[in-house]
Amino acid sequence: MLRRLAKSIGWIAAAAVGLGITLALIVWIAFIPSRKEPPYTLTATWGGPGNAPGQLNDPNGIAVRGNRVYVADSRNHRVQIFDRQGNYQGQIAVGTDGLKPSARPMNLNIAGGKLYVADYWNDVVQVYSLDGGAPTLIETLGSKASSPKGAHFRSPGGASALPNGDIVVADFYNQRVQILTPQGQLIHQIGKTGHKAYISGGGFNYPTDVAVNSSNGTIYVADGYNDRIQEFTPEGRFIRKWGGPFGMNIKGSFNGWFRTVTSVAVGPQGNVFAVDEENYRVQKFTPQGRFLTAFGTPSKGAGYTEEAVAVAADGTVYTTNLSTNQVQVWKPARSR
Amino acid sequence: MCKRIQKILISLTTALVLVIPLTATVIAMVPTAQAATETPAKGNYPPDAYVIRVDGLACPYCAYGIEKEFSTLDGTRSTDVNIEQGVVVVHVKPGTDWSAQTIKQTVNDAGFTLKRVVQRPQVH
Repeated sequence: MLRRLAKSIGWIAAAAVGLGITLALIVWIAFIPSRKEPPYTLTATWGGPGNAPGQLNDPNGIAVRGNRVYVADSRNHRVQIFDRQGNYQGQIAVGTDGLKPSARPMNLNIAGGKLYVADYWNDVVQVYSLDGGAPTLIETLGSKASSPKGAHFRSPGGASALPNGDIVVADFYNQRVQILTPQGQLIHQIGKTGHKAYISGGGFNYPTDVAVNSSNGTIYVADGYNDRIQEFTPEGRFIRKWGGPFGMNIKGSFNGWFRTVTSVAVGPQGNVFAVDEENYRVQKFTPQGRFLTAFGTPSKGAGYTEEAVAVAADGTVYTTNLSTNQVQVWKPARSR
Repeated sequence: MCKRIQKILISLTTALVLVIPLTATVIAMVPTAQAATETPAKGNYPPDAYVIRVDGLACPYCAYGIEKEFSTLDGTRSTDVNIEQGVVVVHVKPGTDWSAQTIKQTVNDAGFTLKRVVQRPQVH
C-alpha cells in the first residue's frame, strides 16, 4: 500500500517537474532571441570626470550630426560640443540665450537641423538651430509662464521632432508622451497624465526618451521603468511594444530584455538602438523590434556604464558612460 | 542492477539538460543586487544632513527626481544621492526641522518609497 502511494507521489512529482521544464523551454525558445549580428567594437573614448572644457559630470544625453557630437553634461549644467574625434569645440551654457539656471540637460536629439534639449530640472524643452555656426536658441517649450495649458512638462527626459516639424516629448513624471506643434500647442497626448500603465501599450511608467524615424515619422519611446520600447505612428497610434515576454514590464538580462531603458535612437537603416542601463549595454533591434545584437561596457563596481546613445549617418554609434564620465565610440564589427 | 544504474544516469542527465534553461531563466529574472551594498556606518554621515534610505532608486532620473523634490523644501542646501546604496543625504541649514511626514511625502512625490530615516541633522 505504502509502496503504491510512494509510486503515485513520484509520478505526480515527475509530471510537475516535466511541466515546469516544458514551460521553461517554451519561454527559452519563444522569448530569448539569438544574436543576428556580431557586437559592435569600442574604438575610441574621450572625456573624463571634471568641469573643465572637455570634461564631464553625469553625461546623460548625446546626439550627433555631421562632424559634431553634442553631449548633455548634466551636473555641469551645459551641453558640450565636440568633433567626432573628441576635440572640444564649444558649449551651450546657462545664459540669456542658453540653458536656464541649474539646467539638467538629459537626452538630446537632432531632427530637421534642430537640437532638442530636455531640461529635467526646469521642466522645459529648448530648441536650438544648428544651421550656421554656434547653436542658436529658437524657443523654450513647456514653461508655465509661456506655454499653453496642457503643454507643461514635469521633468522631460527627451524630445525630438516629426518630419513635419511637430515636437514629441517624453514627459517623465507626467507618465505621458506629448505631440506639440512647433509653437508648443498640444496636438495629441499618449498616456494618461500622472497614471502609470505597466502592461498594455499606449501607457507609460516613466518615459525617458523618444526617437523619430526621419523617413516615415515612426515614434519610438523608451518606456523607462517598464523595461520596454513602444512604437507609435506619427499621429500617436500605438503599433507595438517589445522588451521581455510581450513587452509587459518583465525585466531580465536575456537578449531583447531590459532593465531600465534610458535612451533610444534610430540608425541610418531605421534600426532602433536602446540603452539597457542596468544590464550595462546597448541593444540593437530592427525597426519592427526584432533583436539584432547587444554591446556595452561591464561595470567595474563604480555605477552604471552606458546611459545615452546616438547613431551617426555612417552607422557609428556614440554612447555616454556614466561611471567613467566619458563618450564612447562604437563601430560595427565588420568595419574594423 | 546495471540496468537500474543506467536508468538513473539517463534520468539525471536528462533532468540536468532540461533544468539548465529553467535555472537560467530564473536567474535572469531576479533583479541584480544594485541596492544591496552596505550603507556606511551612521557616524560617517555629515552631521548637517538628513540621511534617508529609499527603495527603488535605479538611475540618474531617480536621483535627480529626489534631489529636485528636496530642493523645494525650506532649509535644503544640497542633496547627494547614492543610487547603488539607495541612500539620500540632504544637507540642510542650521535649525531645519522636518517632520517624518514631510520627508515621507517628499520621497513619495519623487515617485519612491521611504525605507527609513537613518539620521537627522545633529547640528542646530
